[in-house]
Amino acid sequence: MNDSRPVVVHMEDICKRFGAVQANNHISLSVRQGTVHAIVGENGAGKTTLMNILYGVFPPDSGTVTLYGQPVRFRSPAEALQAGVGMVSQHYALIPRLSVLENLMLGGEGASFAPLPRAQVLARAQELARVIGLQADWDAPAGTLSVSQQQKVEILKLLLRDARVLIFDEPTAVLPPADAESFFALLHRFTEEGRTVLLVTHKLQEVLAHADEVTVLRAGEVVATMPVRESPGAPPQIDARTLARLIVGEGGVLPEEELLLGKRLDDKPRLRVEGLTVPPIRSRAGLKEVSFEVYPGEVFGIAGVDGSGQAELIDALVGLVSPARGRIWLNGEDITHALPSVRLRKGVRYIAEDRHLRGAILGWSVAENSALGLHRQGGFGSALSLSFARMKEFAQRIIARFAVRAPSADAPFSALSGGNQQKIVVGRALMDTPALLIAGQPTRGLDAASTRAVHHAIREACRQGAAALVVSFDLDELLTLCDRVGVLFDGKLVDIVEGERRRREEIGALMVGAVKGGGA
Amino acid sequence: MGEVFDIELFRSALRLATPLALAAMGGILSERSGVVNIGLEGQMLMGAFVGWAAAVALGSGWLGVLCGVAAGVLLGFLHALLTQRFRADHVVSGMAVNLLSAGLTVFLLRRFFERPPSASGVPNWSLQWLQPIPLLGGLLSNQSPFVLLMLVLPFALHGLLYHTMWGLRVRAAGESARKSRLAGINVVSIRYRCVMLSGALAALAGTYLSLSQLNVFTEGMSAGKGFIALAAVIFGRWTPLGATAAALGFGFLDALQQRLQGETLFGMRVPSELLLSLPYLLTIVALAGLVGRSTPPEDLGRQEEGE
Repeated sequence: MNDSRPVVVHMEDICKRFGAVQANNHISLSVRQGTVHAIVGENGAGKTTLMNILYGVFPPDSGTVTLYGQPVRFRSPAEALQAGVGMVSQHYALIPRLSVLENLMLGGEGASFAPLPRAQVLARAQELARVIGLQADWDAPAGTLSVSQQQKVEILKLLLRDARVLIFDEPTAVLPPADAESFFALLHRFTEEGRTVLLVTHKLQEVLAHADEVTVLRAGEVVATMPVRESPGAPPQIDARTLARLIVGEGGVLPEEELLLGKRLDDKPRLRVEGLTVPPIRSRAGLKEVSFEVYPGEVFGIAGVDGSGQAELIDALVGLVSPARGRIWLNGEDITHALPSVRLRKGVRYIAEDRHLRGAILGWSVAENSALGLHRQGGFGSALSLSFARMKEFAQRIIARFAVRAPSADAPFSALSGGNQQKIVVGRALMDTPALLIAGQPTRGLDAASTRAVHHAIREACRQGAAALVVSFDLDELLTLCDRVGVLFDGKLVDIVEGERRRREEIGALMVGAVKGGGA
Repeated sequence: MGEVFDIELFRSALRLATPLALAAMGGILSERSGVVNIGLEGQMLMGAFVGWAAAVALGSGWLGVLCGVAAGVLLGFLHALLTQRFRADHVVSGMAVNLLSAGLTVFLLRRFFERPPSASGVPNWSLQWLQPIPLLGGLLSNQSPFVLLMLVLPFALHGLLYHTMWGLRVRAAGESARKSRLAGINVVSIRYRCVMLSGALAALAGTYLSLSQLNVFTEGMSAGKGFIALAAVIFGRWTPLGATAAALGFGFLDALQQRLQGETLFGMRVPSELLLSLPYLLTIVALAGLVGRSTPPEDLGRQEEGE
């Protein structure tokens, strides 16, 4: 054991309750200087809550935090930053319409009414940007940057304040593989400089490959804290199975290895897309002349770096945007310009990539959200009356089948943890086998057990005759779940890989435009 | 037609634009920090009343202005309290401010003044030295100090919003309260200050009506100017310079409308009702977004999720 390194962060006996949920229950945690300390656990295990307490987002109900041996009690993130603790949260905290430089200056020191320290901040930022490999237009609105760039801007922000303790909440959830690799290279650089890293993640391989110590949380309590390796760079002493066991506990569900491939149930395509062209809406690429088919019984994956046209493809398929050119057929019927309600009636279901923005209404109950979008066909009533009993019953079926942790079907949707919210959204789309499922990052932010449950549900729906199109930035997910994977690059479908070619390296190369059709 | 466009038309346009522009600056401050302030109208009215009443009581126009502004700050505080502390809907709270002002000013007026006397107002500044300068002299000499302030303030506010840390924090608070807090900004405190300042500016616009234009208070004398100021904010895309340009446009239309009363245009008498409605028609055009997409601050009027 390498215990010579001093403890930088010590959290002792932390408790935090939200309503009926005890999010943190007597948690104690010690993090040593210059280490990567991973924190793992299922959704709702209390990881993010604990990190928010450390970063001063909210105070603990009880318990103490010690930093470099001094007791601290941050009342706001500003105070935490001042003390050298910084966090890059799961949903990035950059303000999209402010410029990159303005985002960097935000929350910085400086008299309120003195001129903005543009020149100084810019000079330091450029210096640090070289170190972490960020190239960005400093005056561009932050929202126009790619996800990886935004993450680097966030890191830069912490470095500008010289944060010595860096917290990362699911840092690689939306990064393409190559960027994830360079992110970890950066992490090791930070620890070598003597900074300390807390890494919240779902990906056990990341823990084994990069962490020095790991703390496992389950249901708000610490299950185990143990070293991952003797010294930096040494091989891991524990394996993924041990870790997964600890995370789910006795009788829990272990993460999947690989699902069996599906079988085409019919030679007539369920979905046919030809020459689909959509001007850019949410990305810079738009969609250019994309053609493919999805058959009943199969899961068709869409890989690609964020912003390659995925958003436009989804919007065109669910009917939120009319394509400029091209056609979409469902079961041979032209639905290119059909309204979303028509598509819903024909059995198209959508799992939104951003459930808060598109998938649910936070202020409504779980039951109401279960019926959302299905109110016309689910037998939930007529135009003049709604059957709340039916909705509740439907919600309870989802809750039972997907093991949703919800107080009741009447509970407000916002009272559920992120993972459980997602299960409701997924369950809604899959309860009655859809004709066509459009899924945007269906397992984003879910833990292993929930991810497995969602994957199985999608597979099962396809076995029952559904066709599924899954957009994901997680290559492992696509490889686990999909029979064929189409790769988008700069708005074009550069290739569709299946069989022998369905490999990580192949898809990864296609994603960055390295091979076949990339430039053309 | 020739005699319609003389210097007096533009002088009058400046005077009519002044309350709109001043209140619009208030609107920008509030809305940029994320708080919808449809209470501008009520704050303007209250400022007009308190300013005038204080000037009558104290015998000084400038002291009146000070008291009027203080009343606006109080109403701003009320709006901030309702929206930030008690999480009331911004529009409902703003409407409450409007109704409160409308009722309270009438009540106090009738309770304390049998026949509203003239107050000692704020005199115009002659600015003799400006007179030899062509155009500028004609426009700005012998105008109310409020008019001059209206022309200077937008530049000050522009500098404040875009070139100081304070302004950056205000804009951030309006774009995303949650993210701003993560960045270490005290969003609630920023919003309190902005909304109170907003009340101050709207009330200042009100004192201009009762202490510089007329020297007397009449019931409901703000007459929708607070709402037109809000339209100017949207027209000007939440920027001080843009909103001032919009206010000047509205002021010009209003002046033109007054000038054209009783005139004939192409041999026809222009119905005065039509002319009177011009600024309002333009407001509808502005609000309908026909002048190009005008995007409000992203978190405008949104209540934060509770922890």
